[in-house]
Amino acid sequence: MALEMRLPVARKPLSESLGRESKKHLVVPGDTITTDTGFMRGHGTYMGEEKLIASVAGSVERVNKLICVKALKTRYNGEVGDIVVGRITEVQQKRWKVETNSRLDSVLLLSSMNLPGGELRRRSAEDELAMRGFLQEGDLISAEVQAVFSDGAVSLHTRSLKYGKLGQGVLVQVSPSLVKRQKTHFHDLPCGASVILGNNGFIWVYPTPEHKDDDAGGFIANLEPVSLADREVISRLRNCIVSLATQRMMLYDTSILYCYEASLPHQIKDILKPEIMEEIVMETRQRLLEQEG
Amino acid sequence: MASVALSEAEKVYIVHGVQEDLRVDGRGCDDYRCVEVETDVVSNTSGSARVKLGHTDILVGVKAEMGTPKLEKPNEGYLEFFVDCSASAAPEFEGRGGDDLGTEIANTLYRIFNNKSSIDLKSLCISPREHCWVLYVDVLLYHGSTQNYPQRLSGKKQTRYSADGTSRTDRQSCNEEDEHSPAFLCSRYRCSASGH
Repeated sequence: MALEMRLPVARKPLSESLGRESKKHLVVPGDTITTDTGFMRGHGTYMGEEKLIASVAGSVERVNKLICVKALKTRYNGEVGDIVVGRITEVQQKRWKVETNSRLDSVLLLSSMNLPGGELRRRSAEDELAMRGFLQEGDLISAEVQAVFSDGAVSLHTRSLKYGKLGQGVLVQVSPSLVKRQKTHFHDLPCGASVILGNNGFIWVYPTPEHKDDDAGGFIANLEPVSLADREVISRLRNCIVSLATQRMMLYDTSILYCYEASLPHQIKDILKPEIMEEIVMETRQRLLEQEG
Repeated sequence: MASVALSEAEKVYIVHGVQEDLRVDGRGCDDYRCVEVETDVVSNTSGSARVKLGHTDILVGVKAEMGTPKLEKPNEGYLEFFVDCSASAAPEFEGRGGDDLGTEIANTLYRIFNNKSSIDLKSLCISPREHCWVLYVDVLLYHGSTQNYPQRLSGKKQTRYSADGTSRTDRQSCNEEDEHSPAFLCSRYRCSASGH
C-alpha cells in the first residue's frame, strides 16, 4: 500500500501560460471602479465620496450605462427559470426545504410537485401525510426556479417530467459562477453518461437511463447495480469536472467533453494529481480556443 | 464525526462501487489521495510539520523540554499531546465544540505512541529517575473533514521527527514505518471504505 507524499509547489499563475485577448478588470472590495458619475450602479457596487466603489471581489461588467461587479466566489442567487439540483433538508407541513448552496434554504411547495402518474388534482390532506413517501431528508432533486421571494429565498417547482427525484449517480459541488448559462442543462454525453449542470453549482453525473419511463415521473428509484464500465465513465467525468473547477474553467457540455477526451490516456485516479490536472486542463483550453477561432 | 446527508440511491451506488473496488473518484479501496508535506513551518518549535490530505490541513509542532521521568517508567521519557480543533475546520467546532473531538484524538494518540515499535522512549532518557526529555506535541486542525485524523497525525510525527534531528527518517523508511506502525491498524476501523 503505497502512500505518495510530495512537497508543496508554488502555483503558476494561469495568465502567463496562455495569452488572453481581453484583460478582465478585476477588483477587490474597496477598489474604485470609476470616478465618472454618469454610470448607474448595479450589483456589487456602492457610491461613496463621488466614486463608484466595489463591494465584492470579482470582475467588472459594463452594459451601456450600467456597471456591476460579478463576484467570483459567491453563494447561488436564484433567478426565475434556472435549473437547480438540490438536497432535501426538511419536510414541513405543505412543503419541503431544499438546500441549494444559497443564502437561504429554497422552498419546494407540495402544490409545485408532480403527483406520481402525472395526475392533476388538488392536493388533499392524504397527500400531505404522504409527503415523506415522495421525498425524504437527504434526497436529491432536480427542479426549476419558479419565483424568488423578496428576502432572496427561492421557490422551486418540478412541474415537468424531466425534473424530480434523482437516482444513482455522483454529485459534484462547484462554485455557481463557474456554470455557464445555456439553453439546456441536461446533457447526454456521447462518452456514456449523462450530466445535469445545476445553476447553483451542484452537478449531477449519472448513468444514462436505457429507456425513458414517462409514467413514473421520476419517483421510482432504480437501485440495480450499475455496470463497471459505466462507473468508470462516471468517475472519470467526476474527476474532470473537479479539475476544471479547480482551474476555474467555465463548465458546459463541450468543455467537460473535451476534458474527458484529454484525460483518456491517464488512469482515473491519476487525474486527481495536481500536475496531471494542469496538463489536462491546458489541453482542454487549447482545444476550446481552436474551436472558437 | 461530521455526518453527510445522502439519498438512498447514492448510498447504494457507493456501496456497489466499493464492492467492485472502484470508489466514486476512481481510486481503488486501498489507494490514498496525494499528501502534501511541509516541514519546519513554525519557528519557535524544535520541529514542526504541516500535512495536507484532501480537504484536511493539519499543523503539528513539537517542543522538547527537560523534565522528570514518570515513577512507573524511570528509564524513559514521555510525550504529551494536545489537539486543538480550530473553528475554521468546521462550524461545529466553534467555541468549546471542538474540545470533545480534540480529547478523543489526543487519547488515541497516547494509545498509539504507548507502543515500543512506534517510538523508542528510552532514547529520551538523560539520567534515570532524574532527568528526561519530555516532548510536547501540539496539533492544530484547521481545515477539513473529520475522518482519518489519527492516521495522518502519526504520519506527521515521522516527518516531524526528521525535522527535529532527533532521529533520521528519510522518505523511504517513512513509508515502510507507516505500513507497520500501529497507527495503520488504528486507522483501519476509522476510515470508511468510500473514503473522504
